[in-house]
Amino acid sequence: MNLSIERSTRRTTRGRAGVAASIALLAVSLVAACSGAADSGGSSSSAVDPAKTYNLTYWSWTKGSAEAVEAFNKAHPHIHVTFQQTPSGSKGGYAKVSDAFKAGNGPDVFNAEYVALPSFVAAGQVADLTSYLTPQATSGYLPQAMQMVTLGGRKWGVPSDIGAQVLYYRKDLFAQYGLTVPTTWQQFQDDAQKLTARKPGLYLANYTVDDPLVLEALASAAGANWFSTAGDSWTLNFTDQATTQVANFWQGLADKKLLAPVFSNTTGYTADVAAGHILSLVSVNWNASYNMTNYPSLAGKWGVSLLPSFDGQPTSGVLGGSTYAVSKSSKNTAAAAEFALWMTSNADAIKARTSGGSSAYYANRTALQVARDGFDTGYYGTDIYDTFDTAEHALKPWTFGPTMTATNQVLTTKLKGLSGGTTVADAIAAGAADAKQEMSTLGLNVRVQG
Amino acid sequence: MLSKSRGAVPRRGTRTGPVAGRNRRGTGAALVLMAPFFVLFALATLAPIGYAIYLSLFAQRASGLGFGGTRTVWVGLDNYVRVLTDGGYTSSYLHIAVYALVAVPLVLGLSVAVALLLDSAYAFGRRAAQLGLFVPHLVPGVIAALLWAYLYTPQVSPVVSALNRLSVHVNLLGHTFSYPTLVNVVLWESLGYNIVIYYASLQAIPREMTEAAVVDGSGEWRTAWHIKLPLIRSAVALTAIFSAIGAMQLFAEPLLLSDAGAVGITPTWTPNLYAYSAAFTRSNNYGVAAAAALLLAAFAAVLSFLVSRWAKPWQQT
Repeated sequence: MNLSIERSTRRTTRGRAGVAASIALLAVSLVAACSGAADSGGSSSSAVDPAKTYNLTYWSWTKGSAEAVEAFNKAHPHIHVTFQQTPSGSKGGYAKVSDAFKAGNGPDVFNAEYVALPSFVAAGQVADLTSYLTPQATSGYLPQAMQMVTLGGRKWGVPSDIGAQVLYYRKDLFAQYGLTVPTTWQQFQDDAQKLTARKPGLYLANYTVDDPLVLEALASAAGANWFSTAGDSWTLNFTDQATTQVANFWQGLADKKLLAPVFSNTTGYTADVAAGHILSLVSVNWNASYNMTNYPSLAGKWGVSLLPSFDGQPTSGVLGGSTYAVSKSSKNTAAAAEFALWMTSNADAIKARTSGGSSAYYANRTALQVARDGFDTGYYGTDIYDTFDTAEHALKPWTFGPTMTATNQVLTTKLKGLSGGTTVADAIAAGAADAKQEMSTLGLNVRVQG
Repeated sequence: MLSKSRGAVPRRGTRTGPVAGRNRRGTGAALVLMAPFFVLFALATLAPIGYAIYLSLFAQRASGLGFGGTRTVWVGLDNYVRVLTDGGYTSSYLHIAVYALVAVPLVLGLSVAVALLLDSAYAFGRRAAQLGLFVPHLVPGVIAALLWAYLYTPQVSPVVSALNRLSVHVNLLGHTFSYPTLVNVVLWESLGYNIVIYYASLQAIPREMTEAAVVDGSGEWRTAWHIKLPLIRSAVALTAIFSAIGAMQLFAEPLLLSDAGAVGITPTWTPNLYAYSAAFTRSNNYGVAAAAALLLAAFAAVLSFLVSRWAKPWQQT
C-alpha cells in the first residue's frame, strides 16, 4: 500500500488530474486502513474516491462486454461505464481507437491484443499503469501474462486472456495410420513423412507458418525474442539460433512437400481440415471452441497435446489474447484501472464474457476457474484445460515490436512464398528490415543484433 | 432581390433592355440553383482534398523507446519522396496498367458484341437476356468478389472440382491467374451495365438508317460494323473512360482475393490499397497515405484530361 501511495505521489507533477488522483488515493487509503472495508473488486487499486462519481467510456469488440459492463455498473455505484461496440482490432477497431485519440475523443478503456499493445505504448496513447498494478493487485495473474504487458520495466495494461500454443490432432486418423503424438519436432517430421508416404494427399499440417503470428509464437517457443528494450533503445534480433532453427524446420517440411499446400485462416483450409486431409493443427487454446463450431462432425475425434519442441521439454509461445489498456488522455486513470482489474478477474464479468462457449485461458486465477467450469467438455471428451495449464506455464517470454502491424503485413505477403519462391528465412529478413525502417522513420532508437 | 424586381419591369423601349434583364435574372437563378452543388462540392470534395494536402506534409515522430508519445512535425515533401521511392507503390501502378490493358478492351469488346447481338434481328428472348446480363451488376462488388473467391478456392469450388474431374488441374489462386481471376470478377460486374448503355444508344439509331443499309444490300454483319458501331461510339468512349477510372480505383476485389489466399495479389497491389494499407492496416501513417492518394488523384486527373482530349472526335456523333 505504501508503495502505491509513493508511486502515485510521484505522478502528481504531471498535472491536476494526478494531484486529484493522489489526494483521492491518500483519502481512500486512510479510510481503508481505518475501517478495513475493501471494495467489491477486492484486488483493485484504492485510488478511487467513493464519494465522487466517475464516468468512463469503454470500447471493445469482445463478446459479452455489454453484459459485463452492466454488472460492473451495478456493483460500482460511484463509477459509471458507458460501453461502445467496435469492430475487432485488426478489422478497424485499432484504427478507430487510434483516430479517436488523435481527435481527442478516445475511450478511457479499450482492448488491445498483446500484439497491438506496444504500438499504442510507442504512440504514447496508453497510460502507465505501474502504480496501480502493484504486486498485491496482480498476485492472482499469470506471471507470463504480466510479462506480456510489461515494456521497458513499466506495466501498460491488465491482461485478460492469454493464448498459448498447443497441438490438436485427429486421434482417430493418428491410430488409423499408426502415427504417434509428437513431443519433438523431429517426431513431427517423421509423422509427416510417414503419413504422406502412406497416403499421398494427406498431410500432418498445412503451411502453418504462413500466419506471421504463428511463426512468431513458434520462434518464441523455441526461445527467440525478436524485440527487446535496453535503456533508451529497442533491440531487434530476428536472426538468433532459435529463429533460424524454426525457419529451417518449416522450410524443410515445405521443400519436401510434407505440408498441405493451403494457407491458414482460409475457407480452403477449413474445408481440408473438415475433410480429414489435414491431421493436426499447430494452434492455440482458444481455438478449441472455434473447432467446435467449425467442425461439429469431428466431435470426440480431437486429441490435444503440448506443442512439440526441439529439445523435448514442454514449451509454448503466446498466440493471441488481449489486455485492457487505459488511455493516456483519460482523466480517471484510477477508476479506469479498477474497471480493468474487475473486468479481468470478476466471476460475473467472466461469466458474461464466456457465455456462448469460449475456451479462453484467463490470466487471472478466479477468472480462469469460471471459464474452466463453464467450458463444455463434451466435444473433446476430456478436460483439455489440464493441457492448457501446462502450456501456459511453459510460455516463453516474448515482446512484440512497436510497429508490429507493418512487420506482420510484410511477413504475410512474403510468407505466401511458401507455395514456391521466397523462403521463410527471406520473409523473416524482409520483416526485420521493415521493422528497422518503420521504427527508424518514426524516430525511435533501434539497434540490430546478430 | 434587386435583379428580380428589375427583371419584373418590362422595358420595351430599348433594344438591350429585355436581354440585359433576362441575363441578370438568369444569373441570379443560376447562382441559387447551383449553390447547393458548390456547397456540397466544397464540403465533400475540396475540403477533404485540402485536408489531405495538409496531412501529406506532416509526419508523426517519437524518440527513444517512444513511450513519451508522438509529435506531429512538418516534413515538407518527404512523404511524397517516400511513396515515390517505394517499389510497392510504383509497382501498384504497373498492376493497374496491366489490368486496364486486359480488362478495358475485353469488357468493352464483349459488351459491344452482346449489345449488337441483342439489337440484331436474330435475337431471341431479348428482355430475358438483358435482365439476366444486368443482374450481376446489381450485386455489390464486395459480394461478387466474395462469391468468386469461393468459386476459386480449390477445396470448396464446384468449378474447380468439375475441372479436376476433367483432369484439368489449375490453381486459380496461384500467380498465373492473378489477372484473369480479377478481370473475371470485374467483367461480370460491368458487362450488364455497359450493355444497357449500348443497347439504349442502338435503339436511338433512326430505323431509316438501318433500313436504308439493308435496302442497299448490306447484311447484318456489315450493318453492325459500318452503321451501328460508328453511331454508338460516343457511348463507347464514355464507358471506356468509366472503365479506365474503375481500373484506377480498383480496391475491394483485389483486397478480398488477397484475403482468400491469392498468392500474386499483395495487400498493396493497387494504389488505393496502398493508401488504405498505409493509413489503416499497416502503421496508421496518414501522411504517407495522403501523399499516395493525392498522387493517384493527380495521375487520374492528368489521364482523364488526355483521354477526354483524345476521345473528343469520338464523342461527337
